[in-house]
Amino acid sequence: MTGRPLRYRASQFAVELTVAVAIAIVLFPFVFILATSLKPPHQVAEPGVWWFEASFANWAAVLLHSDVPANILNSLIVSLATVAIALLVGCPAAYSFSRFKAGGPARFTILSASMMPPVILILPLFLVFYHLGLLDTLAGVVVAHLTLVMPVVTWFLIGFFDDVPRELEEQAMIDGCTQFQAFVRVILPTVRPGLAGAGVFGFVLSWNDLFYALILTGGESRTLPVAIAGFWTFRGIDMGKMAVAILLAVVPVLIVSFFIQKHLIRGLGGGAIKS
Amino acid sequence: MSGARLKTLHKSFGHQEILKGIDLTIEPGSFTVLLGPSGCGKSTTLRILAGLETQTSGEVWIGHRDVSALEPRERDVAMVFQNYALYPNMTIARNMGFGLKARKTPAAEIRTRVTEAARMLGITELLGRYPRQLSGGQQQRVAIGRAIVRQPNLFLFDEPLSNLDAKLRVEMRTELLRLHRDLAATTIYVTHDQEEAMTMADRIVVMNAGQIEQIGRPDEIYFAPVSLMVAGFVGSPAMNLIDGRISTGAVETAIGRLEAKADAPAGCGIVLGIRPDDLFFPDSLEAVDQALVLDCHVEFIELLGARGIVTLRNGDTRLRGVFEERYLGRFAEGEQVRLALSRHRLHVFDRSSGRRLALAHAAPA
Amino acid sequence: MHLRFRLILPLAAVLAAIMVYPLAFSGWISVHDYRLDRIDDVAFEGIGNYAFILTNPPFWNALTNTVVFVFGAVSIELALGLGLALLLRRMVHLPNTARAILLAPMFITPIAVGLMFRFLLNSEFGVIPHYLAALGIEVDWFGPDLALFSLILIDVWQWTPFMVLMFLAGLEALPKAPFEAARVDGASSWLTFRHLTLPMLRSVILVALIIRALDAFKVFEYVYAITRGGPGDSTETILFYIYKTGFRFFRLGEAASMAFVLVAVVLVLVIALYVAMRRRPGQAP
Repeated sequence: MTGRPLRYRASQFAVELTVAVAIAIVLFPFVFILATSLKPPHQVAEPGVWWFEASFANWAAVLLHSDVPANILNSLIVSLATVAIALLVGCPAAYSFSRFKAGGPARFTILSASMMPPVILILPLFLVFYHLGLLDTLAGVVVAHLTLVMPVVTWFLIGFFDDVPRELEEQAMIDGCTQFQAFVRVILPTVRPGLAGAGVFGFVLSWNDLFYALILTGGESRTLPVAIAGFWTFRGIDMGKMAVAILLAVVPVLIVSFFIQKHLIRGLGGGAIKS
Repeated sequence: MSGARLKTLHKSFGHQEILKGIDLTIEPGSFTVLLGPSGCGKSTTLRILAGLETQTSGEVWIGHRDVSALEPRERDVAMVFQNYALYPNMTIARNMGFGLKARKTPAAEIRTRVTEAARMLGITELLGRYPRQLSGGQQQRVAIGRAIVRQPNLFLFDEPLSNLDAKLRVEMRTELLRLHRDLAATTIYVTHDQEEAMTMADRIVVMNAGQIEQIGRPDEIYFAPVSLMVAGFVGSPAMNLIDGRISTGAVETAIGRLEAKADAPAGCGIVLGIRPDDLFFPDSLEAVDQALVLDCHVEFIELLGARGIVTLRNGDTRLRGVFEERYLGRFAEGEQVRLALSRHRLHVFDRSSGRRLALAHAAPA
Repeated sequence: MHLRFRLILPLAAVLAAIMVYPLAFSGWISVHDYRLDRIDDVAFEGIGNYAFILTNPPFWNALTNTVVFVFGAVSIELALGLGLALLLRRMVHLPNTARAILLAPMFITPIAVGLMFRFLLNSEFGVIPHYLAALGIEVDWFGPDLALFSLILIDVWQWTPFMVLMFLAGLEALPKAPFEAARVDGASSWLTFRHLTLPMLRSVILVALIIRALDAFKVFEYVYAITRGGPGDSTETILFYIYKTGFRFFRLGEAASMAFVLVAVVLVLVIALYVAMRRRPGQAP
């Protein structure tokens, strides 16, 4: 009588324990980096030390006496501009691909574009920006990031528009809208959560990019990932400050990511998964 | 209120011909049901009428206007979809008023009309809610309310009740009829449910494979189906169909020989149709009307309440009959029973063309 | 113009300017001896660059490293991801919190992940070697033998969550009835997994695999953050090698031709992905 529940409870315990271990593995680096950012400078290189006098010297140095705040601002401007343009341009196109026939080749093109390795585009972009004087400007990074973000955002949105029943806009058209009005007044508000999800995902893509920013930015326009990479070079390393910069790059993204996980599933699947 | 007209309407998707020349006149104030199996073109016809699809050729008239080339919004029709198509981001009140708002109706008038329609449908307390907070039946009412508010030329319904459960479906049927009577609005209603069509329509248009099979009042469709398709599609349980052949001066079938002249040459293959309601006890039928007497073996009896379905066998032919409760006592499973057919209730169809054949009975002996 | 074209027009124009044109330009560069330090002296090479890279050992080394990296990382991620997704669905306590935490790594900028692990695994002051040493295990995570494997582990840490995400969604979308039928039939959980879950999840698995493989092919940040291709050339991946050729040695022609080889590989995978997505049962083509 008691055998089955006991066995059941044991297996349930094993499940939760395994997940707990996985969570520990995920969290450990963050915890350690947080600890490092708070360690006094002379203890940073002593990994076994967990009890120490917390010091905010690293945080103060990074936030008050370094370029990191400027880098954050750069990253923010680039990411927001990229996402805004990508949504503005991608949204109508995604709707069109989703609604009208012959969306097949278009979908394939968008998918291919979203998977295009950046390395194929960076060489010509670099040369063109050089001639246009766009190297080391935020505008240049935005253009480069658009190649990354726009196809992905469009791909996401096609999936979201596919989920909206056609009858909705037909009803709007019977109710007195043109198809464009139906799109703006009825369909867009319906996919608002999807728009938010795609926007946040695009933001994260742009915010996290190192490759383009590394090659296209120099001094003034450096974005946060490039700045982070600069903390550990052949010239030297400053662990404590780097830990601070890493946390500054990671925490905002983690917070927004919690809100979009649901939409991400639908978007990434791009029709492969119906949520 | 205006009527509508479809003139030689054709529609093809690629190589597939969905509509093969539809001609239909819809009288102002009528309740017309387009009935047919799925894929027969009834929904396409409705969508062309609404302007959601463009006809390949032919004309669409609403009232005295040729609307063939007009956008849906210029046709002044209202439509209720099978999945209701409520705008998920708007409250019920805004859903119902959206059509008027899109046509720039003053806000005060929108409010009056929405309130009035909500009152008619008993959904006043739902006006502030969102569609996702409503049950299927409530959403259905809102969708209907949204159509009423518009006061359009035509009401179009595309299988509006098929997502509801059986009980609610019957309720809504009555409700829709009541609304139709109150508003006297021209209504075109698409369904594949023959019972819905029979109970609601002034006029039924039976469609099959892109063509109109028969147009008529429900009783005409039921008692005088012009073709095998209509006969088989309308009525539940379905009509009994028995193969036969024309001989000189009679119709030979597996269940016996009918002394009647059919409008076809001898040797022509036919199908004899008998509705399950049209099997009688010989004592309840005047002798002059008796066309044939059948000795049947009773296989089983399904009681439906006040009526029952009896499955019978005559030779190798299986027949289903519907009898009122008071007659059911005369049947016993496994026993023999004698039944008769009325000469006024027989349907004979040409087997190859499916067309109805006129039958002239020989004078009773 | 029909509405559908008017809606597409902005996207088409932008993509033409920032993707199609650069792609064509890249193609042009790939058939020229285009060097950043001799920009006025560009000679036509024809397929010279392609012929060169295809016989160039460092290119093949980079390609091999990348393929090993992709296969290693993606297969481990698949197994772990599927396992974790199944476990997460059986969680009773705080399943949503657990999911949110487990998915976190995939949102972090890869350069930060690279640097974090460079710090954690550092043989002098890294915390992991510190404790391993206490257990008597001494390994150099970024030495010649282990460096590529370490990069794979880092990729696994960051991208297993993607697999979890895909499989959670895939499992969620499965119909309930067959599983209930299997329970009634008394099927063991292994039998159910093997004959119901896995076959029904096949298309999702395929899609997740290909998306992840496509992404892993572009690995750059970990290499840049940690090894810069070393020790020797043991962790030189294709993207890093192209980057080095183009922006360290300024040989753009050569870099472009390698990029096109990469694009060819990617395109094959994209076609596979597209077919896999389309072949989903129950969805109209």
